[in-house]
Amino acid sequence: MNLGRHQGRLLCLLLVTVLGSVSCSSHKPGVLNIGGDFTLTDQNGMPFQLSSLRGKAVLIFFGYTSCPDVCPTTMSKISSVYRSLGPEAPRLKTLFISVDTQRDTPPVLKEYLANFKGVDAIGLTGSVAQINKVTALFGAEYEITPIPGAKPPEETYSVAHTTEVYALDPAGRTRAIFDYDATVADMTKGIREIL
Amino acid sequence: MSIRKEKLRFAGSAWKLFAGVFVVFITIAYAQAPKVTVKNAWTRPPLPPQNNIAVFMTIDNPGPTARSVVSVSTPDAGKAELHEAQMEGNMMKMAPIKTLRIPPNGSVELKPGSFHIMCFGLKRPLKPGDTFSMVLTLDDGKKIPVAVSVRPAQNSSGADSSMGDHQSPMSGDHP
Repeated sequence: MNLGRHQGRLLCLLLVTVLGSVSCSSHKPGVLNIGGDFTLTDQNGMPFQLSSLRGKAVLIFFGYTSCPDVCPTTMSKISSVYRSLGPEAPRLKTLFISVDTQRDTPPVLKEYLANFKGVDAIGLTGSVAQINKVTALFGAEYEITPIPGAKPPEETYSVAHTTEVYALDPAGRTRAIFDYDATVADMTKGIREIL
Repeated sequence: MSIRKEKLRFAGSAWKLFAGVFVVFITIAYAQAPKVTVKNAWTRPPLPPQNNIAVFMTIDNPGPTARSVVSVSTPDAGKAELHEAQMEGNMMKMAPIKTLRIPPNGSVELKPGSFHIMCFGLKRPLKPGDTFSMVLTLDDGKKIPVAVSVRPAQNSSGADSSMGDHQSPMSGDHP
């Protein structure tokens, strides 16, 4: 009897484990409790509202055009994601939201994004208050620190920023966060799941 | 007796020869003491409207003493600085550093997301295939000239303006 009960428990445990792993492997990314609609200014100086992109998956990246390393790497990676998506690529829009409101004016954003021809990107800027509101929506962070004694053409302040890329589904819900180390394959797979 | 003397004389001259060779060897070895060297120096073309670049390389120190890079310079930019990028939580922070230590019998890799040399205010356009020169100055006063090659952006996770229809996946560039 005791042995049978134990076996029963073991079987239950096994079933739960197997079912759990099956459901996990086929599990689509859930809705994350971050994000929401916002309005900023695009690279043409026009107002932009996130909700205008309903029907498309959206990647959101907070960066700045003077960024020497993380931003070119990430934008380049996103460019590869577009190529990997192939025929599904037109269903993806990318938002490059600048946290460097002082230097990244709409014309600067426009010229910068032209470097990444494979990315269907919108460059966004705004007042510090507007940017802070959007970073707060996504739980993103940035930090601007003056560099003592620095004079142009050196940078007179340094910008630190969140390196993650947020993925929104066509309904505008945040469904995935890709960290800096995410590969093109990881991102392509994640986007396909929410498209 | 005479044979023994000959043997002794021979042994003496062999010893002198050996000592001489040893001295020469030591002198050569000293003159060619392991030097700090730089390999694989590269950068990406600047991304307009920006006119700054980050330079990456590997610095080897085969010697028994730690060395430090104390300054960097290039005639092709307004200013060059040693920098370090560091992840703090989810944020990447960049900051200038005064020196970069190269451990004895070791090396330091300047790479994206880590140490790099920032060049501000480029004085001439740089395109893939170009090279430009830099000089690293070490704490012992030695100067290392470095030829930095400008890599096509698609090989360096940079911009993709020259990618055209290449289908080469870039996942290899990212861990």
